[in-house]
Amino acid sequence: MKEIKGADVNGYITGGLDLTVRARTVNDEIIALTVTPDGTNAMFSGVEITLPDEIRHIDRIVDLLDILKNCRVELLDGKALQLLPLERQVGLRAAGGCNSQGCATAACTTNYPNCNAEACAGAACSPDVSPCFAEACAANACAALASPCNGLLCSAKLCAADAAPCATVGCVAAACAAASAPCAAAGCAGKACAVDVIPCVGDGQLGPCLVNFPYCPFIL
Amino acid sequence: MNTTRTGTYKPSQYNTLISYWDEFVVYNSLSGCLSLLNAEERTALEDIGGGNPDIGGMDDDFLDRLLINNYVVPTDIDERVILQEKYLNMQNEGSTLTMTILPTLSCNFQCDYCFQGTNKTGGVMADDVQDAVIAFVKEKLAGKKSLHITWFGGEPTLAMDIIKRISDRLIAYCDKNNIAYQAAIITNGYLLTPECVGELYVRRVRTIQITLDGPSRIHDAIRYLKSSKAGTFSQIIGNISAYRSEFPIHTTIRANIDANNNDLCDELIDEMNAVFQSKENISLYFSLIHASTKECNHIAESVLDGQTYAGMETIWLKKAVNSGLSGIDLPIQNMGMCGASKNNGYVIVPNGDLHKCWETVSRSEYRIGNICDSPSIHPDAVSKWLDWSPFAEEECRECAILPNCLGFCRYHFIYKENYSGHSKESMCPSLKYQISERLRLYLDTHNHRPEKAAVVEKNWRDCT
Repeated sequence: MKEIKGADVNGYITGGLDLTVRARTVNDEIIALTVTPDGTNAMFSGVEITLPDEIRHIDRIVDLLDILKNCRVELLDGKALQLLPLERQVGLRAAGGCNSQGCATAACTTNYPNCNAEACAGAACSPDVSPCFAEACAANACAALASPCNGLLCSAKLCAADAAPCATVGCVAAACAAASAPCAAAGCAGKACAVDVIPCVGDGQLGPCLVNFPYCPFIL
Repeated sequence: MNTTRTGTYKPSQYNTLISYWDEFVVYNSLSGCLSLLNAEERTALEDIGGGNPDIGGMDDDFLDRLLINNYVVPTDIDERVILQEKYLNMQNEGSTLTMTILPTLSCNFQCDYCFQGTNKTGGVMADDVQDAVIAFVKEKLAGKKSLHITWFGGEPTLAMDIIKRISDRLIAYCDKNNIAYQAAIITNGYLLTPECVGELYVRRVRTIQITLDGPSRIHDAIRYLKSSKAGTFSQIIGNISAYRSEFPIHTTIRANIDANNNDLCDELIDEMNAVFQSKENISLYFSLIHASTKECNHIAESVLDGQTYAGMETIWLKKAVNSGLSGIDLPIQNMGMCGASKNNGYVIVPNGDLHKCWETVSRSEYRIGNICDSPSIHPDAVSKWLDWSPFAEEECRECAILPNCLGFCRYHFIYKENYSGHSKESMCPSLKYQISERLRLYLDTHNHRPEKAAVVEKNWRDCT
C-alpha cells in the first residue's frame, strides 16, 4: 500500500480523525484510547479512566498499536486500565532478544530497537522503566536523551512538525504556521497561515476556502 | 492489534474504492486519507468486509495501516456516531467568531440571477447601527481567540467609509485584547481600484472574491451596470491587473454557471490565461447557479441539473488546473460547516437585522433578531438553524461523502419551498457525482501515476 496521504506523518497524527483506537478488554468492554501530541488518554462509557505509564505518555499512534498488539487489557473497577501479558505462541517478535534480556513483561522491548540503542540498563528491561519507550521516539536517537523534540511543542530543527505538515493545523507549508501565528484552521490572522496560500489549499477543489469564506459556497 | 484482532473488522462506510490505471485507490472521507493499493491489497481490503474474513494471515503492518487510516474499523464501531461527535464539536467550537457584515444592500450591478432580487433596498448602515455592530461583536468576542469578518452586500465597496470605520474600531479592539483579526470581501470588483484595495489591505482584508461569468461577451450581457446597462468586464479586469502588482492579496475569481454560459467556460479560462500571465495570488473556480429564493425563481429554467453540471465542472477544472488557475487537492471536509451551522456565526444587514445565512438577507421574516434590540437574538429563530442536522436526513446518513459534505447547505433543507427548477432537487455538491474523477485528477496532477501509466502514455504518443 502506498499512502499518498496518510493519517500520520512521522508517527504524528496530522489530519482527519483524532485517531481514537478502540481496544476490547478481556471482559469485552470497549476502551477508547485517543492519542494526542501530549500523550494518550482513554474513556470508558464516557468517563475518563487512568492509564498505565506505558500508555499514558505515548504520543504516536504506531506506538500505541504496538503495545496493544502485544498485550491484553483489563479494566479495574471501571476506572483504571491494566496491561496483561499476552499468552501467545512464540513468534518472531517474542523469540528474539527479549528472553535473553530477561524482559519482565510480555511487551518485549526488542520490538523497539531504539530502546536497545539507548542501552536500557536494567535487567528488567521493560516499558515500565525504559525512558526510550516512554518518549515514544521515532528517530535513531532517543527523544528522551537526544532530541529537543517534545511532541508538537518543540521548536528545534529535529521536530517532525517542522519537516512535515503540522499535526495541529494541517498546514501544508514547509514552515508550520502554528510556529509563528495562531492556527489557521482555528481562524488565525497570521500571514504565515498555510490556508491563505492559494489556490485554495484549504479545500483544493472548486469552492472558496472555508477558512476564508466561512459561509455558503452558493452565493453569487 | 490483538485486542480487536480477535473480533471482526469491516471496511469503513466512508471508503471510496476506484480503479486507477492497473492499480486501485482507496479514499476515506472521514479520515481524509488516500492510498494506492495493488490487486492483492485491494482483495484483502474487500475480504475484510466479506463476512468471515481470514485476517489471521494478514500482515500486521498492513492491517495497522488500514486501521490508522480508517479504511477498516471494528464491526462494533458506528462511524456515524464518531462523525456526529466531530460535527457537534465543530458546531459548538468556541474560539472563533464568524461575522458577515453588509454595510449596504444596494448594488451598482443588476444581475438577473441575483438571489437578493433586482429591486434591492437602498441606503447604507446608519451610524447608530454601526455602533450597535461594534457592541454586538465585542459582546460575542468574550472568550474568543479570533474574529473573522466577511464584507458582503449588495455591493460592499459602495459603502467603503463604513467598512473603514467598523474595521478600524474592531481591529483596535482585537489588537488590544490579543484577538486575531482576519477579513475577506465579496465584491463585483467594479470599484476595486488600487486605492480602494489599499484601504482594504491595511484593514487586513486578505482575500477578495470577484465574479466573472464568462468571457467578456457573455459576462457583459449578464453582469452589467444598473445605471447605463454597460458591460463591466474590462473595468474589472483592469482593476484586478492594477492592484495585483501592488498588494499581496489573493483574488478568487468565481464563475457562476447556468445554461446561458456553460459552453463558454473554456473561453473564460483562455481569456484569463491571456490576461494574467502570472497566476500568483489569483485562482478561479466555478459554481452552479441556483434558483434558491423567491426573488430569483424566474431563472429556474436556466438552472442546470447538479449531475450534468458536475461532469462539466470536472472538465473545466482540469483545464484550469493545467493553466495554473486552479488547484486540486483531496476533497475538502466539512463543507457544510458554514457560519450558519455554527453557534458563533452571524450575518448583520444594514438595518441591524441579524441572520444566520447569506441567502436570507433580503427577507426580514427570516431574521433571527436585531442588534439594536434587547435581547438581540430570538432563541427560537436560531434553533431552527442549529437544530437541523444532516444526520437526520436519510439521503445524507447513508452517503459515503458525508464527512466531506455534512449536508452542504442547510438553507436548502430548511427552506426547500423557496427553490424551483432543478434547484429543488438534490443540492449535493459536485463531489458526490464526480469523486472518482476528482481523485484521479488529484493523482494525475500530483504525479502519482504508476510507472506503467507513463510507459503506456509514451507508447501512445510515439504511435501517434
